[in-house]
Formats: sequence, C-alpha cells, structure tokens
Amino acid sequence: MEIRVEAKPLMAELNLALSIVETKATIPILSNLLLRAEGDFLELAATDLEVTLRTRCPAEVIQPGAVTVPARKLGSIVRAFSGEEVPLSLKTTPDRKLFLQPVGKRNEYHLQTLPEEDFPTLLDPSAEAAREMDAAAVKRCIEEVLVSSGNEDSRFSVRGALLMLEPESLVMVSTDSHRLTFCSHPVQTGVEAPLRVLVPKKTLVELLKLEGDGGLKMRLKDNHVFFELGPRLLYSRLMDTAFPAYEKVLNPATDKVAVLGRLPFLEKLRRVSMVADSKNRAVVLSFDPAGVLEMAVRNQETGDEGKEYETCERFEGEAVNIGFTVEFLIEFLGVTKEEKVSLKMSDSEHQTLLEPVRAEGAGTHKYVVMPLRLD
Amino acid sequence: MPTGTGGPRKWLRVIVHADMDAFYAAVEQRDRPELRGRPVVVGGLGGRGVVSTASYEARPFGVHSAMPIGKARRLCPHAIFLPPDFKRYGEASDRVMEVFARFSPLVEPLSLDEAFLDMTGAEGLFGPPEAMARRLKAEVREATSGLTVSVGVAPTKFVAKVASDHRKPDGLTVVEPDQVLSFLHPLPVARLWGAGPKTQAELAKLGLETIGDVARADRSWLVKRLGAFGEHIHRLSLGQDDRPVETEREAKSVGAEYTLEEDIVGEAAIRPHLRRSAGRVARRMRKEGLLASGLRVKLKTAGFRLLTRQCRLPSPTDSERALETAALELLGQFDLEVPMRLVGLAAFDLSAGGAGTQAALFEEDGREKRRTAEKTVDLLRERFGKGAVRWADDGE
Repeated sequence: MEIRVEAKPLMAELNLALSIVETKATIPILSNLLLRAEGDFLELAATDLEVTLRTRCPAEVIQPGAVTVPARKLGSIVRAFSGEEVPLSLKTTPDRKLFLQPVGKRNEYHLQTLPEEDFPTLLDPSAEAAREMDAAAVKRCIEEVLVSSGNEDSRFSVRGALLMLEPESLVMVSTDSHRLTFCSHPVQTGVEAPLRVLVPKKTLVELLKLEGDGGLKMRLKDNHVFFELGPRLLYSRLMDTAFPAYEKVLNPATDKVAVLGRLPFLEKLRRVSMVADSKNRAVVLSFDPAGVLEMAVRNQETGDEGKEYETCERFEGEAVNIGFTVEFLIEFLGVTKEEKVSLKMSDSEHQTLLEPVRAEGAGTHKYVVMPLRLD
Repeated sequence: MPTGTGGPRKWLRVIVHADMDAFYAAVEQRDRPELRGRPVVVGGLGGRGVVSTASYEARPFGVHSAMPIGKARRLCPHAIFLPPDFKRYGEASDRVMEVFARFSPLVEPLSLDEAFLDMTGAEGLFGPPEAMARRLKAEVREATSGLTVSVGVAPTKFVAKVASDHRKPDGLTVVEPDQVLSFLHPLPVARLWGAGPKTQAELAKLGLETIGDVARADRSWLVKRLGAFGEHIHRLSLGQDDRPVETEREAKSVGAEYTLEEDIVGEAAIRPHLRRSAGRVARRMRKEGLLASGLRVKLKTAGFRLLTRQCRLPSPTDSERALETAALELLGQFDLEVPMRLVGLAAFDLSAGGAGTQAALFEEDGREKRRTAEKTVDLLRERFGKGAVRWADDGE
C-alpha cells in the first residue's frame, strides 16, 4: 500500500476513529486502525467489537492495499504534522512497517503494524433497504435522549435508548431508573410498519459527532443497526436488554402546572447548586399559589444555604414543595432550546413531568423525574 | 450493698458503656435554645414514621422511641416534632467518639450515640473506675458544648450496659466485681439483654420475674424451656459474660452466608439458601434502618474457590424480595454446574434511607405492599418468635 494524503482531512477522520477505540483494549488488534487504500480514497476503520466506524478521506493511491496500525500512535504523529503544507506519504515496507513522511522532507517514521486479516470482519449493509431521515432531526432527538440514558445496564436502567420509527415520526426513549426522556419528532421515516430497536449509548454519542446535516440512512441487518451519513458508516450490535415499560410512567396524574422562562430558571438553579455538597445534591422547589418559585439548597455538611426566586409565567394549583437532584433539572434545561418550559406536578413523592413549551406539531419532549425524598 | 473500692475481688476487666442521653433530641435542644425544657420528638414525620428519640420532657407523656409518630402526637400534642438531621447528629457523634478514643484504643461503637470502651489497665492514667467515668462524662460535655452521657462501669459488657441505664439521664453507676450479683438480681427480667416482650411473657409464665429468679433456676430446665437462649440468659444472670469489646464494627456491608452440610449443584439447590440469606440480611437492615444500593452473591466451590458477582440495585432497598430477585439474576452469571459448599450474599453501599434518597421511577409490582408485609412479619416474629409466621412460598 502506498498513498499520499493531506494531514488535515486525515486528522479529522482519525479523531472520529480514535473515539471508537477503547483506551484499555485487551485484544491488541482492537488498539489498531484498519487503513485500506483503493480508488481515490483511504478508508479507515475502528471498532471496539460493539461499535464500528468506517470512514474515508480523499487520497492519491499509488499502490492499493491494506494494513492495521496502532491508532493512538498514528493519531499523535499525524496531529503533529497537520500544520505541514505538504501531504503525507504513507507506505508499507517489506519489513511490515508503515513508513510515514511528509512529501519531500527528510524526517521519517516507521510504525509497527499487524496484518489486515487480524482485524475483525467489517460488515457491509449496502444491499439492505435504507430508511433515509433528516440527520438534524435525528441528532436533536439523540441530544435530548442522552440526558437520561443510564450509565449501566440493570433492570430499570438502560445504557442506550429505545429508537422507534413510525411512518411519520421518530421516537426515542431513555431511562436511568430515576428519570425518563421520551421524544418524538415529526420525521418522514419511510417505514410502513413501526420498527423498534435498542441502540447502545456509545453509538448514539458517536453518531452525534458525525458531521453533515443531509440525509441519514438507517439500515438493519443481522441484529445490527447501521447509520450512514455522507462518507461515514457507523454501526453497532443492537442491545437485547429489556426496556422498562415506560408507557406506565409517561403520563403521571398531576394537578399543578408551572410555566417558567427556561434560561432564568436554568441560571438560578446553576447558581444555587454551587452551595450543595458533593454527596447530597438536593434542591427544594417550593411553589406558592401566587406563582413564586423558591429554589433552596442547604449543604448538609457545612450548613451553607442558598435561595433563588423566580416568578412563574403561569401557575395553577396549590402550593407544593418537591425535592430534586439538582443536576436532573439542570441537564434537562440545558438540552432544551425553547424559551419556556412547563412543570406538571402532584406532590413530593410522585414524578414530575417537564416539557419545553412548543408549537403544535413541533414534536414532543417529555422528561419525567422522580423526586428526592425530603424526610 | 458493700461499697468499697478496692474490695476483696479485683477488677479483671474494666468495661465502660457510655450512652448519650436522648441524643437526637438533646442535639436539637442544644442548637435551638427555644426548645430547651420543652418536649421534643425527633422522628420520621411521614405517614409511617416512628419516633427516633423523645426528649426527657416528652417521656412522662408515654412517648418513647420506635413508637409510631401518630401515636406520639396523640399522647403529647404540644411536643415539638422534628425530622432527624443526621448530618448534625453525625457531627456531634464524631465529637463524642473522639473523646472516647482519648480514653481507650478499644472502642466499640454500637450506634451514633452509644459505645463500649475497654479501659482495663487504664487506672494508672485515669484513676479508679469511678474517677475515669467522671472524667469521661466531663470531657464529653465539654467537647459537645453541653450534651450529657450516662455511663456504666462494670467487669462485663452486659452489666456495664445495664448500669449505664440505671440512673439515666446524666447517670454514673459503677458496679464493683463483688457487687455484680447484688446489683443484677433485684432487676426485672426485661433488663436481660435480648429479652423482648415475647421472652418476658414466657419467663413470667415460668414464674421468673427478676434476674435473680433466673439465676436461681436450673440451667438445664431453662434450656429445655427456652433453648439456647435459656442458657444465654442464665449465664448473664450470673454475671458471666466474657464477650470482648470489638472495634471495627462499622457495617460497610450486611451479609449472611451458609456453609452447607453437603455440597450442592445447580440453581434449584442454591435458591433456597439465597432466599434464607436475603431474609436474614433484609431483616438486619430493617432493624438498623439501612438501605442497600448494591448486592453481592458469594459462592464457594467444593474446591474452596470463592466466587463473587455483584450488581447495583434498581433503588435503595431493605426488602428481602428485592434482594432475592437481584440475587437470582446474579446467579445466572455463575457456572452452576460446579458443586458448591457455601452460599451467601451481602448488601453493600448502605445508606440511612429517609432524607435525600432519590426515588425510583419503576418499581417491582406490588413492591410497597410487599415491604409493608415484610415489616409486619418482623414485628410478629419479634413478638411471637421466629417460627410464628412464614411466607406461603417458602415451601419448607
């Protein structure tokens, strides 16, 4: 294999690939990237066996071929050269190394390689029918749903999100057992019958990093889900975890509603949360019937206290006090973009439903949060 | 009653039991002067809350700890009812334990407000037992800005514990080695460590009303009537109690395990032992007011290889059913074709429940009902004995 490639566009693809590679990979080949030169491009592939990225960047291919090289080492060297005006020359040598040199310069690097055959088999879904969706809408949905995606898989916490395609909407749901996000965006999905899969969190996080707002193609094959955006293909095994029966908690009975300006609410919560101790992250929201909200934090370790006040744009119902883990509120308010949010509440023991105030037909974003017990 | 210090029998061990007086309520009264001299009740104020501590002003009204808060409100409606603030009690407790640590390296805390100290051989530093105890009380009072502690000094843990309760609050009782029997024998059997209402009734039926009555009873007759417990209380009634003061009691996990008489193979054989362990662990947690967020299953193979698997629980719990469910899920991660000689589990990542617990969105079906049922079973067993009730699906 021998190619010439510009360092900058190569680095952009390397950055994407590097975030797939596990830092503590136990199988040596998984620390490597697969490089394959053919036609007028260099293909890069990275995998942790759960999530795989295949991407490409334009290259002048002198001799087609393939090899695997240590991902982080290649990444640091290419990064160090990305200020160079001249392209990089990459070629495999008879002693099975990858030779790297800026074209016309004297400095040279020789990197250890492993044979291409050792790399896990890459999947190609192109024969399957693709559902093409608006990438921006899908990414928006993912951003919303990642907030409550769990950090471990247990009975009621899922390290991923449920993705459902209906003919005219994309629905995603996630929960970490204390809170749940349900979002539904009007998207032409091209499916005739509803489709439901469970996608790992890492896949969703990586998908957000892929640039481009055009059409995102989604395919399913052999228990894998494939996302294709421009020249990049990201795929992963589907999760076979059971997803909790979210429908049961999605529409709690509530008898109080508050509408607040999102930014002032967020800013005051962030400020008052500075008082909280590291272990106990409680904020108590107290609404009075006149619609004044008090946000109170008391540091149990030091006795420090903080209080902020905000007047609701609208409040209906009786006075109520509810404790929350303050980050749960901040994260929701941080990911929503709308000017106003509503809180639908019942009492300090049952779930509260938060939603951005949206125009009719602009999709749904429901965020259901359980309280912190106060006594 | 002979009084002499340096009497005919020497102190083999000097055991101190120190018990803070109405601790939670006393901390509140210390920090909020307007509460001083008034009945104060600290406890869970919710629907199923119970009294943690009642100040001495509230006790004449019949309010005592572990009483449902609703009943306390009826008995003493003018009392000040406060939710517990464990952070503050913890801070005060730290001060108290620091003082204890100055007196002895052998301190066995029983809870936030109570500890045993082994002060054997410390006479040279602190003087005879009574002087030691006076000094301990003074230093606790000083370190906590005025909290009082009742102290019992005796040659054994049991007698020291009874002694600290003898003249509460702010009490000091020293029981010399040759006074142990004369001190114990007039006391009612209720003072015997571990004698609950059921045992007391049992003892009353046998005509045993005082500790002296127990001491004079025949040990084999007691064993026949009360089992191993009979032997235990007979020893206590004679002042025989060689249990040492144990440091490092702090429960980072609560566990139970069973070494089996015969090796067993397969899930069906392991299950009942896990269930038994879950029951024991959950009961202990409920008794101590703890909730666990993690669970570990422990198996030992016939070849003495120890295998463990652990998981996070969906929400902090003290329910045996929840522990059992999680344990059975973990069981799927073991190779169960190997013969096992020991089965056990431990609940860890313990918290004191109550305030600051993040509630869970999803719950096992009927979880609350089950929880109430488990607590009721605890009460029944406490009152009528372990065999009094059994779960219908226990299958034994």
